[in-house]
Amino acid sequence: MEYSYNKAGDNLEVDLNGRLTFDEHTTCRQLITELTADDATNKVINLSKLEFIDSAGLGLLLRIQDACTKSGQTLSLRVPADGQVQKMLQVARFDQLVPFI
Amino acid sequence: METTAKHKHVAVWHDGCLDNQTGIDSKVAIRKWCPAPGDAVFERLDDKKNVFVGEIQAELYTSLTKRAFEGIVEYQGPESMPVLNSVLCSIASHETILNLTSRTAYGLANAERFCEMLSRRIDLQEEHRLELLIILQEAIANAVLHGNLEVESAPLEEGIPALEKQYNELEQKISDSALSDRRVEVTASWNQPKLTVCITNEGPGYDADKQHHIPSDAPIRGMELIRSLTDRIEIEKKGRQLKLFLRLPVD
Repeated sequence: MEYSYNKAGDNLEVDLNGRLTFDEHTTCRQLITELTADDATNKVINLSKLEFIDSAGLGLLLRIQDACTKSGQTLSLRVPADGQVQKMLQVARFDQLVPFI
Repeated sequence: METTAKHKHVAVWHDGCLDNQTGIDSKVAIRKWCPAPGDAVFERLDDKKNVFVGEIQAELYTSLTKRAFEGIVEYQGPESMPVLNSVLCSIASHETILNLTSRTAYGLANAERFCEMLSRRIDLQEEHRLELLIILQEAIANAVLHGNLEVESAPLEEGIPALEKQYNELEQKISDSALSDRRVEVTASWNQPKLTVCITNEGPGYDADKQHHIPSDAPIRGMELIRSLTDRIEIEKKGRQLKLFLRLPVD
């Protein structure tokens, strides 16, 4: 998985590309460290270019959300319209857990 | 190496690793395979099922699943012969078989590759293909991570520290060949409209009766997702095998 940032003032958006799965732990570790260290108030993770996500990926997003909440920050997700990632978010009813924009 | 005796239903394609090896019990047709860039087709032998046997790397893996192999078996050396023979004996009753070590499976898009192999054998509607990708990924992840590598789950309520701990454990165990040499096997059998997918690991297993299934409003855990997308599941071989039953109606 690869990722890149766009920061403007208090808003931070991270674009994810590739696969967010249980065997991407090295990259996930880096993402967690960098994302939680940033002091932006509003954080968005853009999943619209992500090819694949599994339950480990969902768990990672929830943990990041939890860390954000504890720091008084918000986390939202930008989601794709179709494909495996959209299907996974739908099956997991993830919109009940993390807001989609 | 080509047998002159009556061939069974299998053709074994290999990348050189079976040369000078004996011990293949089934009477199979053996073909050496030398992939080249741009290769579109390999010779299919009548109605035989084609099994690739060799070292599996990312680029080759993608190439193999595009070439309509019914089976892919990772070959490490003579110690892999029992696995190979087992696959050759069972391939007749399956549409597709994938058999890899955990170390090789780790980091490869196995759910996508298996789904690609299967979709060359059965007509998968997009909705079913997406559901199958989810099911396969969760089942393979469980088999590799918790089954073979014996990595503990990281409780969600314990947040990022628990995840860090899991990552450390994972790095240590993936480097331990006693664990990472353990194989994961995925098979699919099709009897329209019923699809049966079986995922087997070589770990110590677990007592499935002691795991309490508590349905949740938002199914985000692997087994919850699998249960929500399958007709039923069976856990066999003391927790080392997960059998999934799906109905894929055809329009």
